[in-house]
Amino acid sequence: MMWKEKRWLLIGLGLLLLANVIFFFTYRVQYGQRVKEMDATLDQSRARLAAVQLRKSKAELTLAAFDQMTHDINTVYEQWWSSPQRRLADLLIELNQLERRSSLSPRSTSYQQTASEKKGFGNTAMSIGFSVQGTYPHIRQLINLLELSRHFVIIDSITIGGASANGDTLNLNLQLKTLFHIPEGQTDAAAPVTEGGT
Amino acid sequence: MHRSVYSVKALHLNLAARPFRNAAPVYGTIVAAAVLCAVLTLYNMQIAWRFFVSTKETRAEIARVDAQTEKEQRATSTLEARVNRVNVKALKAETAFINEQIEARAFSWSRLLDDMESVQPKDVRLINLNPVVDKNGMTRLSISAVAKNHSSMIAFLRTLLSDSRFDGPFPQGETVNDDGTISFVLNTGYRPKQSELLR
Repeated sequence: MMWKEKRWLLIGLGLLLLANVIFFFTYRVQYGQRVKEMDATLDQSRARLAAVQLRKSKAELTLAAFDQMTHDINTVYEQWWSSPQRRLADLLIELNQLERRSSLSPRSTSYQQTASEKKGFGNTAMSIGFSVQGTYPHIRQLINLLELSRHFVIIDSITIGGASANGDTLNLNLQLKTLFHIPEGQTDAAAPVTEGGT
Repeated sequence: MHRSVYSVKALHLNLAARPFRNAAPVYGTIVAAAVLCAVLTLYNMQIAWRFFVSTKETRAEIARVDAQTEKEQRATSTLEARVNRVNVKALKAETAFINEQIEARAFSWSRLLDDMESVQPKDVRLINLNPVVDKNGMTRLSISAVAKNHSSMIAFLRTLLSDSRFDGPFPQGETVNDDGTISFVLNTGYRPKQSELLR
């Protein structure tokens, strides 16, 4: 009788108790797992960030390397291989001075402007055939001076011709090469020397 | 108290107006259930509070990291787009070409002539020297010379073969001149730097 009278209160308390039990098992029991999941999510987010940062630093390094390469190429073009207008006259003067400093007798010099070795780079090469007469030590001195020259001159080959009657004097043919960079917008015609000789 | 008092039988009179009902079990149950509910509710509230508050920091950190990832991703995409715009093939070819020329410029003819002097027999006269530096940095030498006789040429070849600075010398051809001398051409690899290091 009494149970019947208080049934709504008892049902209400029962439901409240059931809800608490469900909540307890949902949160208390899975609480640790949920924290672990959240930590795992954080770890995944950090790993994604690290991967993106790695990609970014790789891209930065690659770009920096490209920038450095471009800078180095421009340095070569502007300082070593600059246009004939800037270098050619100075180069010819220096070659003449080196000849005289080596005490060699100049015989002939020929110039030839060859086509750009690599199309698209804007470079043109000039070959200088250099013929002198002198003793072997003087020839060595000339070669040494050419190696020390501030100009970008490459010795392509040397040919030592027949010696004089006493055997002291030699004929030396030096094949030199230098490169010019013709900036975009200019043409190879800017080079004053195309072919000739002395 | 006197003994006669204990011998009197007590009377149990029911004077209630309504019938007696035992409510103790019902109220006991209600009170017990209410207390249990209250305790569990408090406990669960504490769990919920701990869960939401204590993980708040983690959730904030996840949000912060995700936002930073998004930002870095955008920056990376911009950088990668710039990298992709670079013509790597052309840049590498240009660099290789320049390095080849610098290598040729750095080649020491003075050292080569010193080395040639050290291996050249007296009756062999050098006519032409033409070194070519290949892509691997190895120098190939083409040597044209005139020897007094055949044995002088062989002596020169023997000296080159036994010298570590010259790699695989091999004759390309020889011609007997009118005066009996022999003009010949030799090709050989040349390693000036390595031999310099070994000294």
